[in-house]
Amino acid sequence: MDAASPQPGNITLAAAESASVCLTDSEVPGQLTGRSAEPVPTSLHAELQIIAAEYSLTPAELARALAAIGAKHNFGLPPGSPATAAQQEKFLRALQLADLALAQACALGREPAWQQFLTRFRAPLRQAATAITGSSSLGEDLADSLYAELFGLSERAGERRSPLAGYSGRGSLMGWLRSTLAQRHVDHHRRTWRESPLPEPGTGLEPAATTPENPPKDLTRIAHALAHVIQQLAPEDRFLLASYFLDQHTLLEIARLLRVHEATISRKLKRLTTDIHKQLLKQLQASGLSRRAAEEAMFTDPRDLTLNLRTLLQTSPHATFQVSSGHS
Amino acid sequence: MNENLQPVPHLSPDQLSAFAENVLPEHERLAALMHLSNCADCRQVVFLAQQADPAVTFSALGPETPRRVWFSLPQIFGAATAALACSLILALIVHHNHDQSLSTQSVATAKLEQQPAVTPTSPTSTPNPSPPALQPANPAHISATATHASLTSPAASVPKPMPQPLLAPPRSLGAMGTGMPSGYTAEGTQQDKTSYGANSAPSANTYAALPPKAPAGVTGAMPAPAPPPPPPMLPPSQESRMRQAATAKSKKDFSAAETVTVTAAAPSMDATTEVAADSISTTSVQQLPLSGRAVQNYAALTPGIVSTSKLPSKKPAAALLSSGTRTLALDTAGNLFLSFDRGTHWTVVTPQWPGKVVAISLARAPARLYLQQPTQNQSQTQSGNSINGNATNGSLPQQQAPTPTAGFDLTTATGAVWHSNDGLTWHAR
Repeated sequence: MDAASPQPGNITLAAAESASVCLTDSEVPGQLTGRSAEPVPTSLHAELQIIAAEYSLTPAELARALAAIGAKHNFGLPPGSPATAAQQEKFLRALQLADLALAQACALGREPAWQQFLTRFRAPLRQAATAITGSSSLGEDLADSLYAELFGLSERAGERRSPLAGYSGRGSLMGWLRSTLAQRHVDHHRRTWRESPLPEPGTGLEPAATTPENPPKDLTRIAHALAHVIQQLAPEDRFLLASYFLDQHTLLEIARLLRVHEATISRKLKRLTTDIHKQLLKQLQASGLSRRAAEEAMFTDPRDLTLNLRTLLQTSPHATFQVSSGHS
Repeated sequence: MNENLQPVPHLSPDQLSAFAENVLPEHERLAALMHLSNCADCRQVVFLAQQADPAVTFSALGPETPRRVWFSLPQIFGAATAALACSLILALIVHHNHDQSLSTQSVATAKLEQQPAVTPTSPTSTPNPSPPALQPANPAHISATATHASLTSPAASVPKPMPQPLLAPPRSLGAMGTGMPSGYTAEGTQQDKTSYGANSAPSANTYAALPPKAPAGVTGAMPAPAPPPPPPMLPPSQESRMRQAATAKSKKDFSAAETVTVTAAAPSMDATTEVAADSISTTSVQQLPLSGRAVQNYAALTPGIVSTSKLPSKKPAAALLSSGTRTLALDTAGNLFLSFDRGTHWTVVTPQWPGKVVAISLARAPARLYLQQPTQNQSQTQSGNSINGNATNGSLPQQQAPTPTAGFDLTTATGAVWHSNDGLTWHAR
């Protein structure tokens, strides 16, 4: 609590000299050591003092965290673009300052901050863990394990490290916690899945079909054309194809994630498949087929093709929870 | 990044949550989308986190592209107005073409009727070397050309003012019998008044006494008006006969009702049947080429048609009389109603007589009124009943003026007759 006492003298002096707060690593020891310090606009000083006092932080600690986050993300601008003072202030004001201060205080091990954290997020975190795992017991286990991790039980180079220090404040703290829970659940599933016994012969996964050594030339041409067309797609189109066809998410889930209407996703998918069909025809014609031959090749049985759409669409071999239902 | 668990650099929870909350800048969002499209694990994480968010509902979604409003209220009103305007224009065009075709038939009929009258009476007259061609668009020109050869006075070629309306009101529209709901009746606007119903007073021109079937050649359901009276006996001079022919022709040129007088050649009575009433079957009415097959709606458009379906007593009208602008209605319960606007609004007549009214009729005018010679304008505007039965709805000679009205009479159940001049104040006769 002593280390968290406010130091108004530093703020006042810095504001008087350079109209900004410039904190160095020696002033506030903590998690953000080693990062370049960036000045914080003076218009945020009063707000920072209030928020920092509420979460047992010093204004210098909070300002240092803000400066580090701004420098890390270049104040929301593309890399290499210098940010003006207005852009910096706009970026900093768009952050969730209260959540950021709470996360920083918890990362620094401040007891009042942890009490507030547990008061605010204990029940929502357990509910989210239950929703992610689909089981209350598994959810409680997942939430408890995350508490221990967030408290910073793991140490690196003699320092206690908390994942809360990586929270940037761009999204809500609850969203960050849900993402962390989901990530930990996926990691846990991957670990436990590796430990699962192999399926019995004939009852589990069918062995992959052996690819013919010398596939027909037309099939090879179609596979190359399809791979070329898919690789030319925009990231969002690839994301839609992968989410809908590979992961088999519903239109509603994709629409909620992308914050658009369900019908919009449906229209995009329809237009996307139509465009892929046209591009594939063009690609086949460019590879030497006539239009009629290209149209006939479009009726090729997909089971005869040796290409794997999952490998074309993504680098990871399969989805975590769709091992047995993954389709090519 | 979680370097410990993921062999390849995945998106951090901070990036994933910011992506899910749509707060990433565009360049970072595209980078996240690129990674998500390639990484099934991160895709699974972001969908799981999204699934665990109870606050994400459709109502909480971000700004959605506003849907286009296809049919707003002003658009509907505009479309309706445009459709109405088009309908009116089309109706006017059709009506105008119909009038032109009627005028053409009238001119042709007049020419055909005039030839036998002129030829025998003027054998020595010089025939017109170039007979005028039939030009339907200019009846005045045709009239002048037709009379030029025989008339000595050029003033005679000037068409006289039209003594009749262009279209005579369909007098017997309410008598369509089975296909016509009770509630509409025809009211004579110029020459006569009409009453119908079981308890109607004995009148000379009830519907039962209307001329029988429309002769062949008359299209439509309405019977043709009665043929005009035969021309009076003329002096044997040629000039007088030609003047009379020109007068008749000028009338034919301007009256569409008279064009139907082609039916004058048809027999005035149907000798094939004993039925004197003119009734049209329901099937015939329903097969009329009318929009919606609503004949009663068409009747409401005709001047002189009084709707009795809005009597204050909510009962059907047993009798209906009209004298001038006053219309008297008697419902089946014996209540009497008076209207000053042809049936739009009705006033209950306070009973001033004992008993129940069983019949109403038009009062006979005093004899002195027959001696008066009303002007032409008066004969056109004054609406009265023809008591003597000689005056019909045809073209009346000027010396035969319609009989002026003299109020109403009612007959009670006891047989007492009460008289009223205005329909409101009644006294025993």
